[in-house]
Amino acid sequence: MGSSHDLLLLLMFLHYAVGNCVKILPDSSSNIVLEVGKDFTATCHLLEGSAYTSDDIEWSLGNVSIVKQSYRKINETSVSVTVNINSNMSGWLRCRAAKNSLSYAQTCIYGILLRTGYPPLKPKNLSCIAVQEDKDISSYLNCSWDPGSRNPLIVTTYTVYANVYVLSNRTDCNQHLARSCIVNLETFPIHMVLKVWVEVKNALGSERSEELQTDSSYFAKPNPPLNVQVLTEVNIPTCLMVTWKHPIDRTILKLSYVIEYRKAASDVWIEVPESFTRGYIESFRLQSLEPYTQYVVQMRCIGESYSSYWSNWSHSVTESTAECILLQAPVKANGKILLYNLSINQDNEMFESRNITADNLRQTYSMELPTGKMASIEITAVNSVGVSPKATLFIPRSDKELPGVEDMSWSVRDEKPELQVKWTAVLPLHHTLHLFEYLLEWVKIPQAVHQTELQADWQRVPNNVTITTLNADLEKFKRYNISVYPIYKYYSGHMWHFQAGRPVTRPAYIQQGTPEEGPTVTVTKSKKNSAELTWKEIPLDRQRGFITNYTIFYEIGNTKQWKSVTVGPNVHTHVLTDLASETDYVVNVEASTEAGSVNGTGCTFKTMKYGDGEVEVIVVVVCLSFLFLTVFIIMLCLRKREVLKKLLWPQVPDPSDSSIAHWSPDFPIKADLPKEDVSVVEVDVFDGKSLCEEDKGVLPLKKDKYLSEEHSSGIGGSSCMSSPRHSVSDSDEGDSGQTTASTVQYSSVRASGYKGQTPSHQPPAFARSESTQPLLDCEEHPDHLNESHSRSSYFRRGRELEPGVLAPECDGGSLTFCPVQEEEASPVAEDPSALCYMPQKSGYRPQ
Amino acid sequence: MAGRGTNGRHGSRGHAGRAAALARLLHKECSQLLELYRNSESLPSSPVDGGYLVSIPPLVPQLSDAEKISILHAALKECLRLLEDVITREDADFSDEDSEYKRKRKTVRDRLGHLLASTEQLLVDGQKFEAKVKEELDGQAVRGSFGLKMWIVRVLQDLVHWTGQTSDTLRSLPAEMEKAPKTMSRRTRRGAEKIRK
Repeated sequence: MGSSHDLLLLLMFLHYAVGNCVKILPDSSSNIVLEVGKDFTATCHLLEGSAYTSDDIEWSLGNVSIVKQSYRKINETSVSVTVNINSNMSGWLRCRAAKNSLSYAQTCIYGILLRTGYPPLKPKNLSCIAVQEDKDISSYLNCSWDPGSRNPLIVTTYTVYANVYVLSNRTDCNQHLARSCIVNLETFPIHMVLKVWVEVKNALGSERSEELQTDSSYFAKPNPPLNVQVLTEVNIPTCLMVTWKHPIDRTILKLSYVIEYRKAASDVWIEVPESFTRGYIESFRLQSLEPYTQYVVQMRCIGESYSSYWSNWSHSVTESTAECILLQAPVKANGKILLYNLSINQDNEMFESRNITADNLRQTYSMELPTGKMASIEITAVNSVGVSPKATLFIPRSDKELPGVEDMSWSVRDEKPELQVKWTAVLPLHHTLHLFEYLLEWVKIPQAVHQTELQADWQRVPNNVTITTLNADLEKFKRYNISVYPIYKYYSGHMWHFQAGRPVTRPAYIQQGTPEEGPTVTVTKSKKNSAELTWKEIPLDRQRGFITNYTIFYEIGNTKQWKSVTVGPNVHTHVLTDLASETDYVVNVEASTEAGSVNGTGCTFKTMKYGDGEVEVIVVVVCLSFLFLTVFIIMLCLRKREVLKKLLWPQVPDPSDSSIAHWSPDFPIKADLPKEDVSVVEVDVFDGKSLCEEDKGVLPLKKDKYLSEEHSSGIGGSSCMSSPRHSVSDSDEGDSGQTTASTVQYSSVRASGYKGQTPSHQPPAFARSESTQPLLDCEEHPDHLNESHSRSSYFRRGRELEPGVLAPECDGGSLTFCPVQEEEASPVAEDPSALCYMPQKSGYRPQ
Repeated sequence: MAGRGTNGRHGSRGHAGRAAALARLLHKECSQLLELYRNSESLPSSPVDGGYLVSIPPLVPQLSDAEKISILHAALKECLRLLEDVITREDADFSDEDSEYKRKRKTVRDRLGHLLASTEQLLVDGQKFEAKVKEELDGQAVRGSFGLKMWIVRVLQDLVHWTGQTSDTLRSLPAEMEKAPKTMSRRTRRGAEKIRK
């Protein structure tokens, strides 16, 4: 449709041209194909007789005029134009001659049709394939290639050539940007050298791919093996027979076969080595399989010596191996287990024997095994084929432990990775005890919480091997306990016994990682300059590796000035020292493995203001100070007691001033009389001891007048300072009502020395009482009073007083104080008739 | 190419090896074609008497391998010509319907062309042998439809025979022949000339 339209336009322009006066060179009856990116020059010629000159010529491409700068005037009748071709320039290039001013002259116009494009690119990656069809290789050779990403924009043809010597086949592929094409070879030239290439061609050029020249079988793709069957070998339970048919006759293509198989429960395919299936065979026996196990088998084939394409895989075939009598201990069922025979023996004597059905495998038996005895547990499995050999477990004598291996260690081999274990061989033992083999056991720890049984795996190692790789698919970041048991064999009791030696166990990781969590730290003790931190060990299932160390980070408040301390992996308590007192700290602990570190949960704490014992010291010092102060005050009081006494108990007025002689107001005798103290001198009639001591010892034994006076007249009643003293009553016989109603001044004057010291050297002691108790002895037993006074005390009258004046006063019953004068104690003692108390005849004297 | 580069490689086999394999394949296919023809035409399986249509100089042990191949090449060339005559005659006389026999016939024809091209690579320069055909299709021996079928059987028998001969000869080639020397030794050249005389 498009081409016919172009042709119509072309004819229209030709019509213009024929009846016109210009032409363009180069000219073509069809498209002029131009390569993108190159310059193109066209020349417009005015034909002879034209009314125009070259100045009237204009060029246009499509509907757009070309700028004059691209023009080149060749002569008066010719003008050329040069344009750089781009991919959008497909269309009409026109030359027009016309006058700018109004004119009757016919406009001259001519045009050529341009097509722009690219030359073809060289096809790359040519490949051809002829699949098997029926019993022969198809004659259709399907070739494909990479044409390149550039669109040539113009019609481009691809042609595939397939030559067999002089015989040539070719096919044109007319698709735009063809990528593949099928060549019909009539008959596939098997056993011939086939040469194949692709040529691509368009108006701007051609390219040819590299040639494929090889034995034609390399282009052939056979069908997969036919009728693949897997047969159970009834008598060989570890084998499966695989049979198939050749998909193509060997005279056309001799094939090699590949067999793959896997357990039905597994996704891992195992390929039989090609060397085993080399040759033009149609059957193969798979060996070393597990009995009573489903296997899936598939096959494919290829020309001998890889001289063709691989076929597709055949459909997979599933078949089971046969049941098998148990060749070893019942590790693998090798068939459907019908029952187990269990027998438990103690020192070769039957203890228990049971048949256990396969659906009740969990059995518990209790047996007490005395020291020095051994037990054996034997178990056999029974399937439809027969009974397995015994599996025997010996429980050795508890008092006999056999040695274990030494220097056990492990390492990780990086290739897979795998765990390699090595140890030092067990030294030769007693000649009756033979090293039978080693047993390696690995247990993943910790087990799941709900799991009660350890999931242990193990493998046997011959006794001459001391290094081996665990045939285990160990999990990363999980801890395993790897144990090596030497298994000993000895002959006893007409049978061989097996006993494991002491196991040597090491924890191991196939790959270590960063711990899942860090330890949670707590502060157990916080002191003034130190703090004790405690953290728990990370649970094993979260350690993901061996903890190499703990690092304690701590900072003051939020200062971000972290300090760190690193401690060993077994340390879970640490005391931080050199801390500032009464300061907030933030602390956390980082756990490290060889793979990395992780921070734990931190905490904050505050150091104390005072250190240990400081408070106690302060309290003790304060108490001691107080005590010393108290003692000091007491001592001071004792030393200054006289002063204190004077301050606390002021001087009682001298009773000598209350003389009757001076009573009269108009006879101021007191002013004239010289002051004279009346001393009361106490004489110890027993042994000369002080009365103070007598108060303690003698007082309970006698109740004489003297003691009665003592009890009744003491100031305060308890102080030794005031004794001995005598009660002084101011009672008046004629005015008894006055003495009971008013306060009576008591006083005693001590004249005796302390503890028998001579009173004459003591200063006079003076005591005063304001007791309201009447002086009963003095009042009720005036005889006793006089008698006692006559025995134990005496008054010495002052020099200024007349004896005659004093006597009536004492008799009169009114008592007054008699100040004591030490110096005159002896003279007073010489006058026993002197009275201590002088009755106040003239009544009570107000003070 | 199945993960293997093949540019510029012709495989592990040499020209002779490929030619031998091809001759063996062709021999088998010729036998199948003969069988198919006999079955389709309900002809007895016993060979038709009269000997082979194509005759060549006897392949005496004195001949070199190259000379033998050249002679057999000439015989195969005649066989191809006879087969094409058969195809032309059959297509002209019988129905045009597709059949296994016809497909096999085409395969044999193409394969025979391949074998001729393959063995031509083993020929020694300048050496020319010719084979003769005793009875042509247009000869007096072929009369009637039955005579034509018998003649076709004989052509097919010749194909079986000469491809078999070629296969045996090529398989017995020593290893040196694999290298396909294009020059002939003086001794073999003389021997060949002797036969030609």
